[in-house]
Amino acid sequence: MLNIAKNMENNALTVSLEGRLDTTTAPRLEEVLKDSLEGVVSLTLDLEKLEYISSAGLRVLLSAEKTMHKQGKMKITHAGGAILEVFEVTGFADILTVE
Amino acid sequence: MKDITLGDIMHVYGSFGLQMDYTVRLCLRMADTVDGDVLRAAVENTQRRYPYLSVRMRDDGQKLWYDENGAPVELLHTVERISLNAPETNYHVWAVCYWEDFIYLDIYHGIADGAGMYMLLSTLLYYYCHGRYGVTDHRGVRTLDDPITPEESDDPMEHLPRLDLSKLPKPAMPEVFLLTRDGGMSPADTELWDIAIAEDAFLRFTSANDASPGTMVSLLLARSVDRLYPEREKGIYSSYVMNARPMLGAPLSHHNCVSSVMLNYSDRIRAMPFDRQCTVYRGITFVQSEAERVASVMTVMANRKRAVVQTAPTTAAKKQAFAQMLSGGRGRFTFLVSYVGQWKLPALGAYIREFWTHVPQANDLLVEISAVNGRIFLSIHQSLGDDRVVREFLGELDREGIRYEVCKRMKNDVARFQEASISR
Repeated sequence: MLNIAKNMENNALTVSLEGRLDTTTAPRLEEVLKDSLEGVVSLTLDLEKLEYISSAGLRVLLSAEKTMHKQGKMKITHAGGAILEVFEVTGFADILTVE
Repeated sequence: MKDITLGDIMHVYGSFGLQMDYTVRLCLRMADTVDGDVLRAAVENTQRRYPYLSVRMRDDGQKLWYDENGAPVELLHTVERISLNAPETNYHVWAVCYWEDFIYLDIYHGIADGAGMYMLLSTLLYYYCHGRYGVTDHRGVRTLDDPITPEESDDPMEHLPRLDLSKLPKPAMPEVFLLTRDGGMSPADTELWDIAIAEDAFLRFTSANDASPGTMVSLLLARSVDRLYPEREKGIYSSYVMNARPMLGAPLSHHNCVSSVMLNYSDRIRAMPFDRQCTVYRGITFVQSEAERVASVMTVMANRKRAVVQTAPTTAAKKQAFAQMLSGGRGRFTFLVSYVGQWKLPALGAYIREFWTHVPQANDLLVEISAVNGRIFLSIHQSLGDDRVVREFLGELDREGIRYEVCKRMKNDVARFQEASISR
């Protein structure tokens, strides 16, 4: 189960995730981002309420980072301890802006 | 005349310097006894389709190079090890053997990597299955009807930008645990374990834990080494081979075009639950297989190889210099895992019962994975005096309820590769 909430202000989009970002739910986030990123220059992914991330979720984040690298910037906020550890151990923390 | 290019050059010279036969044997157990006449026609067609692999290695004292070789590629009715670049194979760098229901493609690894070999193999199998079973579906297979494009024989490593190596920072060298040097295991002649696993059960297991087959094998092996050496002070590093063609924009090349992901079974990973370990192993592969990163790593590598060539004026000096380079690289990982990927040609796969990949020994331990027709085939190559790691790995499979079959234990059967004598 993954809840995705979007908030657009000017060209800055915040996407808040709640629940599990896994093989089942990652395609939905990918679709939402694909449909929402046109014209966006700042993307914030708020992971405060994200409980779990799988490799499918990591792949979506990497893809979003690639897209935003071309048109603006992306940052990740409020990632919890377990998810933060995944970012650190995998090297995602070196690629993504994690606050 | 064809030069040895940057993608291939280190292993060509380095393997001679280390006195290693750098050849691969792809072993296919077919559905029926092999028809030698049909296979001979398939070999002839395949040779015509790949003129750039129809070569003989030469040595002029300054360098090695390839000469065109118009003699027929040999088909040998034997299961024994053969010699490539030698009289029995018409001095070719590839040959085909068959015995009962097995077809063996023996090929020099210094001219093609796994993906390059699969291209040749798929053509051979298509013509064999066409003649033997009437298969007509050749989607994804290069046939004589397809044009031979320059991209097939182009080496993308040659086009990478030139760098001033003196300006590059010295790379960090992690402390790597080696089974012989650090684990006290004695080196020995390579022994192969051919192990078959039901693909559906293994894929259920890997996907339930958020892994891929290749990262799962890497992780299970790392856990096996860790169980045997819990007090070790150095890291267990898995070198997971990846096809770099997509990153270098050269999907058709036959040359060696691989990079590797380094998977470090760190203390932080060790402390994680199993499924988290799988997630981070996959995450690491995503990060390290990013196109820009791979291109950057391969650019540095290409420049280092070029620098070696410039400082080694003779064939003998190149062999020595690249042997050192090769040996140094091998100390950077505990074991190696390679998976070319699922066999993608179902029309041909239906006639393949087993598919084993036997390769030259790169270090203490390596695993080649192939998958076809509902089964996964692991060829574990160990050059160790005891088989504790393999048994521990099988124990990991047992504990996870993965059923497997040890189909064969044998000495390595890859072809010998005869060094070219100096001719000017």
